Amino acid sequence: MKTQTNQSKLIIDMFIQQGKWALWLLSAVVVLYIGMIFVTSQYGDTLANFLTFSFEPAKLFMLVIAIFLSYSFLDTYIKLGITRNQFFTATGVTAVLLAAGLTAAAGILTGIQHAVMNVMELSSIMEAGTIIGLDVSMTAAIPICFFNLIMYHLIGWLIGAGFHRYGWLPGLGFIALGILLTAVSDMLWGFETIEGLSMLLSLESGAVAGGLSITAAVLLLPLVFLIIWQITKKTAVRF
Amino acid sequence: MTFDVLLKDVSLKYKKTEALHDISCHLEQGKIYGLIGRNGAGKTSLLSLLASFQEPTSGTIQINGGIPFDNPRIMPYVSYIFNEDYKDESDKVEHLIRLTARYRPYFDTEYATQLAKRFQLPLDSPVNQLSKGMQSALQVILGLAARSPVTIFDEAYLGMDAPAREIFYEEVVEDQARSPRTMIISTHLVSEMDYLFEEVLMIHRGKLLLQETNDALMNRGVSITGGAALVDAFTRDMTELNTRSLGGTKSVMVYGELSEENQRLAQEQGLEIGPVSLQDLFIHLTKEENDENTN
Repeated sequence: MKTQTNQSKLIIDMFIQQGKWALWLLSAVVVLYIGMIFVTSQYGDTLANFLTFSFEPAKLFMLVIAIFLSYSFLDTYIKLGITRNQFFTATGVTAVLLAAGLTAAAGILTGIQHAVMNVMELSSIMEAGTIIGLDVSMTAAIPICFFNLIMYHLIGWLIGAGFHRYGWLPGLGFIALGILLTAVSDMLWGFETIEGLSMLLSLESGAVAGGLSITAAVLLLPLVFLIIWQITKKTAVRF
Repeated sequence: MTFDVLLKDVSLKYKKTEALHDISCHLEQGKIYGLIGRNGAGKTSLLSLLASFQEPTSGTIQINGGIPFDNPRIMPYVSYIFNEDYKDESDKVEHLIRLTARYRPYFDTEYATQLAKRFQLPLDSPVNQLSKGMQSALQVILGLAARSPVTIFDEAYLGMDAPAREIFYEEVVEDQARSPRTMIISTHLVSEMDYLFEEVLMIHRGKLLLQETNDALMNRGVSITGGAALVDAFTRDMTELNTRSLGGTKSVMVYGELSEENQRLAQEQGLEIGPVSLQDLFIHLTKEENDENTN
């Protein structure tokens, strides 16, 4: 009975902690974006919408916080009697909630942005064309953003878990694996982020995007999740 | 629930080094156990297995009838308190108390606050700004107030000064009377803490040398006190553990039980027979060949 309670407490605690950091990030990006609107309107340039603007910082945020999960949270909670399984579940749920929260916030703020800029007659500075780097509609961009934020969180978690369990030298191998997974995921979604690696793998970025590749990109998430569990389930506490 | 601890042929290897070798023992609920061994004997490795910090390479551990590793029915009830490095812990003392209270089922916050007052620990200070002694006090406060059915203290009191350690010993005795639990105390301060132990486990080079009640252990040797010449003659053929002299009086601790014949002889010669100290026994039983050469 008590252990079930511990599981839900852990999910709440981890979400609140990481949610606070996400709010800081969102606030900073909003301030920066408002500044960009001001500068762009002065120089007659164009600007991407808020969802597109916040997509890269949000991915980086998810990656970085997840890298430190094993070092800053896993050991602490095992010392408090939490199991690795409970931690794994809580981190997975938190990743989904954070991705959903950030995507929803960015989507809502983008809607508000369009409404306000129309009223202020500033729509001319809005960039037409791609959203989050893809030639898609806002409706399609929202779930793509959501899945990609989860993926970046998982890749960060994978790298951190690898370092935590196997030490520095094998940990570098997990960085390589993380880069490879990022490249594969980006290619499946059709992003053009890691050009060098795409060329190395003889795959043209975006060339494989389509129903099948999107399915493969989504299925990559449980695969990475499974790899992390294999690393975490027997990991020793560092003390 | 009975939180007995049972180990059967437990071994632990780190790459090629064998930290623990075939450890088997049974710890009954409600007793205070002293775990003693020299540096590197395997004390921390053994205790970290009980706390599920890692898995044994072979053998089985059972707590409350189940395997503790990653077991949600056991892990919340096992507290492992060790000499933790708090240099990166910027949260306040009260936050750590609240956090521990949140996840430890039997945590008594009121008792934790009382202990903080007794140790003069400021609740509103960031943990990494506390002195080493105060950080140790915080550790033992969290360990005692958690009231976990299996509570392990692994040299957590290292940074504390003598008066603070005395408070800790008093609280161990008093709180164990109020809330009995299986308590394992690992220490190298043997002479200071031996009175706390109901049973002693001694490990050496990863192997369990003995598990005995404190009383039985005391009977493994005797101290003989009297005139120096008489004591020397009496103990000539015995295994000496330690010798102390004051003026013409000498006290020699010897290993092994004294035969009835020797007891009668000692009485006739006016020699005083007393118990041996755990520390002297520990030093003798874990003595290495190198130690002999250097002494």
